[in-house]
Amino acid sequence: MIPSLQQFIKNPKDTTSLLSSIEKQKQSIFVG
Amino acid sequence: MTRSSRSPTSLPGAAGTPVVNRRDLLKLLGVTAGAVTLPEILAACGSGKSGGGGTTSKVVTVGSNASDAVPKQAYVDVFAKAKAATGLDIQVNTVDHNTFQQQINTYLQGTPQDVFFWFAGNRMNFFAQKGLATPISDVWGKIGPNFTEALKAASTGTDGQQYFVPFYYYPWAVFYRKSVFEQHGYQPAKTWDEYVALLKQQQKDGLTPLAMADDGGWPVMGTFDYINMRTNGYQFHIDLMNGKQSWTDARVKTTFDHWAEILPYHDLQGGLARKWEEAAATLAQKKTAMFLLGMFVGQQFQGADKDDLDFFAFPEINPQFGQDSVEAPIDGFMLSRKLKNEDGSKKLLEYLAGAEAVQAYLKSDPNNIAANTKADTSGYNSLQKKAVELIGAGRTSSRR
Repeated sequence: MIPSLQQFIKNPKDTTSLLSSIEKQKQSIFVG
Repeated sequence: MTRSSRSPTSLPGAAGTPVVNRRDLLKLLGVTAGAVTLPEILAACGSGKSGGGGTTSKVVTVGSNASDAVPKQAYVDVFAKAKAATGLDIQVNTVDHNTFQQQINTYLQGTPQDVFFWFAGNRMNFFAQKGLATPISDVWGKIGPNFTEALKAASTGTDGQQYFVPFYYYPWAVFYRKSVFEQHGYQPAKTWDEYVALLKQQQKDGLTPLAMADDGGWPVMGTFDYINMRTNGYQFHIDLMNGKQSWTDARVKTTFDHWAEILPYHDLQGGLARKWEEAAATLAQKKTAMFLLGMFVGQQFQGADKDDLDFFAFPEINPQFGQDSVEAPIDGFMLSRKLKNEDGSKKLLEYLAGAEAVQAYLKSDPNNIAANTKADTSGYNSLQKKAVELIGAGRTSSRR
């Protein structure tokens, strides 16, 4: 999450892939 | 918070609306970057000596994250009074705030101190449900009258037991210097359009509109939390943080679109590595016009400058949600699972739950609000009074 938000601040134009990345990260955290 | 928590957290509001804390998010998402790789500093500092475990021991060990100068000194005062009042030998180990946050999981599984500093709500429950904290429902049987039901709820785990003693809380808001606003004729923004217009005007006037820091990774999360709560509502935000909503939902994209709109008005150069204290200094020096942070930002203002500090609530984005949520983390204390001195630890918690303890704290760090409803608030400064107003009645959100 922190790296993702910092990535957004560095490059705020590509949020679609960023949010997909956070969602995948979330799933890996919440699954199990 | 004194840098204590710094993280935005959501409080349940007066109307049952909790406030969100960004730090919680980190924990909920398990994203505390680096948590696994950092050296086990905290564990190494664990309570190795506690005088033997019996109920007769007077030694109680405390793990503190209050490493910033102002809160650290304030806690020296608090524990001196606690020692005098309880007769306990209180041994405090203070660890760098961000390190403490990052190491907490490892710390609690190692040899933690008896009492440790932490936060209410989900962050508390996270460790309570992992079995890393000792329930203190018996303590609450004595201290309960000192706190509101909302604060009790924030101190209660999903198993119905209490695990947390609230000490103080503070809101996150848009801080500014009154003299700068007066000089340029600025008005606090109530809506997003007003906010964006204000940012543009400040930039035109030669100011950097928004101070920025992100050392430790938590400061910018406050911006995300507020934009998401204002755009999609508190419940959506909480659900997103709890993994119940998708980050690919179009509503989240809208949040980031809003954020992208104001990003250029931040003090971006070096901003990600900047400490919050350094960013606060730019506000104090009138280089930046505003700073979205917790009220602990006041620790960096002294004398007349402190009286010049003011704030406004994060502006409305979606009229459906207005400004109905406030980020207001609650700092306090918990007991680890491996207590060396349970009786002494609970005795200390009872003291810390009293009015005298938090009054002693706020005397040197008046950048927070007492959680204890019996604490004397007659000496509150204007910022504290305004914070009580912001978090308290009248708003849908917040006050635990």
